Amino acid sequence: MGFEIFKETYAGSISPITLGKGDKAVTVGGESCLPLYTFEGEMPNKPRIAMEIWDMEPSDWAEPAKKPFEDVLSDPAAWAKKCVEDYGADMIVLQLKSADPNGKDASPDEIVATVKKVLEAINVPLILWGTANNQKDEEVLKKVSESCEGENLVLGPVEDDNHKGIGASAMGFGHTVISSSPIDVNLAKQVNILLENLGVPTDRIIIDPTTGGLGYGMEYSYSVMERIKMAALLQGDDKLQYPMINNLGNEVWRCKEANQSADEAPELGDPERRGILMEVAGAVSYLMAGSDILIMRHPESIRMVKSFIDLILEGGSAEDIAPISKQLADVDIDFASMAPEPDLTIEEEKKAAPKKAAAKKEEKKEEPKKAAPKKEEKKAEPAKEEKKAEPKKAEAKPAAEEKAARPEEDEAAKAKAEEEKKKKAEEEAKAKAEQEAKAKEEEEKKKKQEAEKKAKGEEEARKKAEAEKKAKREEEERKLREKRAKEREKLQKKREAAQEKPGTLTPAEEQKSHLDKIVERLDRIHRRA
Amino acid sequence: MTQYKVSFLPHEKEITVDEGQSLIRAAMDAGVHINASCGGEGVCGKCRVLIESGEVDEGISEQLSKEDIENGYRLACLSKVKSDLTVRIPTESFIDAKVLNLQGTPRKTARIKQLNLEDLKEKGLFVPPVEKLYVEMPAPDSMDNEADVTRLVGALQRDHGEHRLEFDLSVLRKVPDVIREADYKVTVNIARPVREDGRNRVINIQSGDTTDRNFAIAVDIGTTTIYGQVIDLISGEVLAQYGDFNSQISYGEDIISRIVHAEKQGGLEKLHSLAISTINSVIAKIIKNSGVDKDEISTITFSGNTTMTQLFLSVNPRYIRRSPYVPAANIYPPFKAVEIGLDLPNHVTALVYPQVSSYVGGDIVAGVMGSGMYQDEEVTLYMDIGTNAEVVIGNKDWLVCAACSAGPAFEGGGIKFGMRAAEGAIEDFSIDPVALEPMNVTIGNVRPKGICGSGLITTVAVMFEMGIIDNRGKFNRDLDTPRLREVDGVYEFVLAWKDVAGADRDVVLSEIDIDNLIRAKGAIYSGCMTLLSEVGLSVHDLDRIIMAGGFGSYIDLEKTMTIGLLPEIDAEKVTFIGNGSLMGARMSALTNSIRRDVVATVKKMTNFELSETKSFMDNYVAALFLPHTEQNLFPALKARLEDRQRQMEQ
Repeated sequence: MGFEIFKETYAGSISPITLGKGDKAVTVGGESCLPLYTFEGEMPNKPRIAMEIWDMEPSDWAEPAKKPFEDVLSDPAAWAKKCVEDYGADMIVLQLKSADPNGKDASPDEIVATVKKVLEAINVPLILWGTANNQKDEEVLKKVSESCEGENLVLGPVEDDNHKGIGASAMGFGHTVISSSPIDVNLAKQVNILLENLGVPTDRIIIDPTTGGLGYGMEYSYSVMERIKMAALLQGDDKLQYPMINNLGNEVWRCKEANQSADEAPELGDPERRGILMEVAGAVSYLMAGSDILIMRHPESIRMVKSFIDLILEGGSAEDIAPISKQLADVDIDFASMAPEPDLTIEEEKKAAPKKAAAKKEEKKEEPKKAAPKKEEKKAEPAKEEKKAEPKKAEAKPAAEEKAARPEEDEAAKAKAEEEKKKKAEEEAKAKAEQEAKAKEEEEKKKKQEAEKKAKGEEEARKKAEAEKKAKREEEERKLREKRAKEREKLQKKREAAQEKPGTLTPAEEQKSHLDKIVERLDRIHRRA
Repeated sequence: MTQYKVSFLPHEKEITVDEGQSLIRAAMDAGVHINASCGGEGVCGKCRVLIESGEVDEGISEQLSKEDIENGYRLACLSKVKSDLTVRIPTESFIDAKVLNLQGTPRKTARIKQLNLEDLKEKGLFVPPVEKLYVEMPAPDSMDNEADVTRLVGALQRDHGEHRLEFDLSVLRKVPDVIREADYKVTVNIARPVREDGRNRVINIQSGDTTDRNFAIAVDIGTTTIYGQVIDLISGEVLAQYGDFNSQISYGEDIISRIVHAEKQGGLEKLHSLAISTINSVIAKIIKNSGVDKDEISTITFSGNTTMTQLFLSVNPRYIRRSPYVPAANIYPPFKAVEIGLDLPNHVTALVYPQVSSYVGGDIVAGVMGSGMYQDEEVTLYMDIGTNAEVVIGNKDWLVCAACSAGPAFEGGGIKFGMRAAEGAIEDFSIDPVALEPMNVTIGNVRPKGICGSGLITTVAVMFEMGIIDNRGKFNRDLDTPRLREVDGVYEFVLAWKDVAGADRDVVLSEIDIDNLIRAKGAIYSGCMTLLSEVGLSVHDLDRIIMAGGFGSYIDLEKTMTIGLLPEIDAEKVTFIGNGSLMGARMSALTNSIRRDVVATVKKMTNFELSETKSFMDNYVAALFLPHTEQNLFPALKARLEDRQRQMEQ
């Protein structure tokens, strides 16, 4: 009998939504399983990527994002065309940045003119993304909707405050709307209900759950998307059975890390690869959370995410996917020089990690450990008047405390601290010797020599102990291997036996009633015995 | 009282009402809309109706022309039913007959649960906490020179089989004189122990037989109002009741500001003495009204929320408002009323209801005890809606409770024209969905001054069903009526224009008011849902709902379900008990069985801090919608709305 995966049965499916018109119309959604779980249900339409363009020349884009489009940034129509013809975009998102009342505040008529130009230049579906200023979006999108009747544009974001204006207009002129809400499953549902109550047909709604950039709240969006998909598919909530869209590129590329140059943040590596990979990582995460449409910016990120979608849905080898092809000059970052000095003692100690050995080692180590602080005290005493001595002492104490608090991590730290202490002790002794009167000099020298001798002795003792330990550890490891092998054999036999006689499950003698369960649970919360 | 049938045309709706009922209220109860904005004072003249058959008293006003009156027109608000009637509502605005029938549904009010003493006696639950016994004993002489108290005890043993008696020193001091003055015929007050193995305390001695006069006082210490009752311990009747504003109000309306004040120098003493003085004035008033002598009061019981209880007992409430929100005590010992400055005789024992937690206090425990849910099999949802709201779910086996931060919207707080249920408050409402003319019915049938809790619920529910406000509680901006307007960026709906209002300006309902109502109902509903889910139950598992609180039994249940305050449940399952806290206080004055059970009940009540219960926030956001984001929880409303939609489209 082969291994069988437990398969979930679903109570609903996402409604398929067609965007755009004609040959190049795109259908998204329609899945009857959790995202990419094609072993449990159908995912008739692959998640799609919409390429992002702006209706005005972006002034604050990061260099790597600008580079592929540098010749078309000031002409939305040419930009859109380039996306479709050069980069094979399935869809175009026109971000209506110029409409922002806090920025250029372009009039609805100006926006309509741009939209028409872009529409002429392309034949793939067009998504229009407003400014998230409710009033202005309503003004602009209503006007666009009216002037582009029958184009089946996708208009968003539509929020509860402007759902009526945009919703009614989109419904009247044959467009699709993006129902947007701030990262909450209930609020998402509420906007959808409002749109449905308005009469927007159920094949004209897409959900925007609000997208957080990588490292900037992505986990919140992720879990809300999960909840939306679960409600839609597992609980069969028909108010949430719509495809989802994520305005990702805009979020990723505006964050600090995507815009820092190699000089500003050398430890983050090549800025071009960095931005692309951040966008890819975000996209892949959102695909797993259930995104149906991803709005993305960089052609290289898009190429990689597309290949991810194909691989995961159709199979194949990721080795055939080309690495990022750079368009900007390579940056030379000396990572080695930034790396912290490797601490070899730590490595050495780490090898001796097995538990039994560690316990023994601790016993043995105790002596030198005790010895070290003693010695320090001795030397510190004559030096009491020196300012240097005090802070050093203070440093040593917390270190010792820390050790006590974390016995497991101790091994490495102990050794290191010990070394340091020794060094310190020596330095102190030297300094003192120089500053003391001549009469004392000799005495001090003696002391120092003694200390060195002692230290040497300790070092030797330690090495010896270590060699012993190593031998012991190897012996123990060998024994352990033998033991494991025996255990495995036993388990195997047991399993074979179990397979022959499948155990039957008998119900508990006393079946708990619902009441018993409630009372038991409350007792636990209440801390009643 | 004689009852008559009133038929309304063209609605073809019929209702039976008492003689003398105003026609407008009859119409409202039948679910018939009549335009009326002045609350029933007869000044707007909009509620013109034609009496086709039968007779009414009054109903005539200068608003009606002579011709009208001759033709049989009357003002509905001024007309009193005097016989069976057929009344035609003139369709001044053209309303399609289909729409007419969609207007309203007949009122569904909750049954009112009354305390039934006979029932208690039958169940053996009537164990008076203080009993009076009459004894006659022989006078001492040279042959029989036992001590006075020994003589009294002997008589009590002989005549009444009393054992385990102990005397208060104050009583002992009175014994020698009283028994001689009374010729050895006296009545003693015996306080029964709460636990059966306790001692019986003799707390008073009076001359002669006064056993038929035994009284108690019950007091509900509310954050806003303090209510008191004088109760006859023999008949169980309430002889007098009175409520007065808690004079602590001048130091803040909510408990948090009271606690803040109590933390100031001398603040606790001040608030304590204000509570005591309000209680003393209430006691004086009810004693006077009941005609009882102060000396005949045997016991006094109190219930109040945790903060009120601590302030009343002068126990520092400082830690109630600080995490982890710990009250000073759950159970308070009985004490002498005079000890805390109450103006009552020395023998009166005071008993205070125990607390569950900082925010589920003695008032809720009192409700649970008073309503009897703690000993019933049925799974009951108890909700007390006052200055705040608390919910308890459970039965005789288990109880869970939570305090919901609902705020005072149902008492008129945070509502522009909000007011308590007093004269001039709109308490019922209907609206013509086409002409958008309202029908305001006010307490006292006077011009509308404001809107009370039940009026607010009804108004929002009706407007929502009529499509005047949407699921978010926002007005439909497309409505063509001067009543809907935007003032300082806020949309509001004029319920009564200034010329017919009892205020010096238009009485309005604003979107902010609706928002506050939605938050309040959302907090209560989500509190219930969170508790239910914590015990793995759903709304369908509730056998009944008991509502307590000041907002009146007049509340229309269907409307509370329309706005999603109550879950959709058979109206028969809902009962209303009014002031649950006072009811509980009265019960514990009447019978020791309550005092006996209350400790076990308090231990049984598992408190959930909603702010620390994971699912609460989710439930709350879901409930901030009319009626709820999960609309399938309200199938009846859904069906009504769909029906309306269909008919409007035809």
